[in-house]
Amino acid sequence: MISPWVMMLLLICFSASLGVVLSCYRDEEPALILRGALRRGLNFFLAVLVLALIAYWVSVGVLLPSG
Amino acid sequence: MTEPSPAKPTRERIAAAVGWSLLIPGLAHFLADRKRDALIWFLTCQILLVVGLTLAGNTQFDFGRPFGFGDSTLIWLQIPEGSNFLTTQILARVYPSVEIGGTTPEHLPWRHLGYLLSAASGVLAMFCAAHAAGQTIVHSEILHPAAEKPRWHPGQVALATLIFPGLGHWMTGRCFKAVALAIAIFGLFFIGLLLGEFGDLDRQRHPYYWVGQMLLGLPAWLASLAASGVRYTGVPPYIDAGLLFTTSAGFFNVIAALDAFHRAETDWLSKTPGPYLASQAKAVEPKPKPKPKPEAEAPA
Repeated sequence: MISPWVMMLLLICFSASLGVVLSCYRDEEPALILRGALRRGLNFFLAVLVLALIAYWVSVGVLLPSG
Repeated sequence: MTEPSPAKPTRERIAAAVGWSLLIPGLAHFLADRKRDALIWFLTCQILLVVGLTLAGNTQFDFGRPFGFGDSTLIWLQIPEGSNFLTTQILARVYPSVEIGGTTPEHLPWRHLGYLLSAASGVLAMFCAAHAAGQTIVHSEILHPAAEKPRWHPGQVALATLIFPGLGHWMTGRCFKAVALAIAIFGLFFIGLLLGEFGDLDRQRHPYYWVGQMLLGLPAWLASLAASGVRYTGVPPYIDAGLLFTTSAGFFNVIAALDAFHRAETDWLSKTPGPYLASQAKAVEPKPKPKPKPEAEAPA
């Protein structure tokens, strides 16, 4: 059984990694990299979370056949 | 801040070097009169490919696709072996897979090692192109006589990233970035392995994900070899996330290699009297004073 909380934790891990790699690619200074990693990771995390919530709402509220 | 970039003739030579290297690994080095490097790259890539194909009974070609018009095959699409372009094209036509379309060659005991070696050949061919590009920069952009020569050229730095994520940055003195990239990429890869219960590095089961995983370089190659005997008793619940993590780690390593190359290139070009330094010098150079006109000689 897949737990949504574990998926959330995995999303946090992936967002953090993505943020670090992109910031290292874009910036050179350690302080800029740290700030950029936080910003980019958070942006990605929130974007995926919003898409997931929309997908959940569509699947439960729109696509599920009502009795 | 404006970053230095190679002059136009250098960029053209880099594009040519990458093209020649992808056609035949080592060809660009040979044309640049680096015969020892050319021989090493050529033999390494070709031996890995031929041995890998032999061990796996050429079943790698079951994961490729012919591309052409009608019955004629123009190009055999084969990732990642196809980066070693010419040899792959010839071998795909001459030696068909022992299964011819099947993807379950369990009777080949060394197939995992074979897949790994042939994939390493393709990935190394890509990095051979990066190495050739780095050498082109070194030979085309001559350092300023007073400048201290950087220890590593961009191609070597990119190649080091293939040995371990972040190693290329470490070699150019960017220790913070090296550690950050190593933790981010290797951490993602390891979590992915845990989620997939160490069975997600399998070409037969996940051929498309496997290509991305191989881009991580040596750590993924060794992990793939170590995990080749893993058997599943059921589908792991987080296998999809595991595959996503390990494959993304491979692609992130390519980003790290590109960045390491670019930073080392910047280090090199900032020490050459090329267009960048010339433009910097113009910005600070005071305007020359107009010369005073020579006095007209008095008539005798």
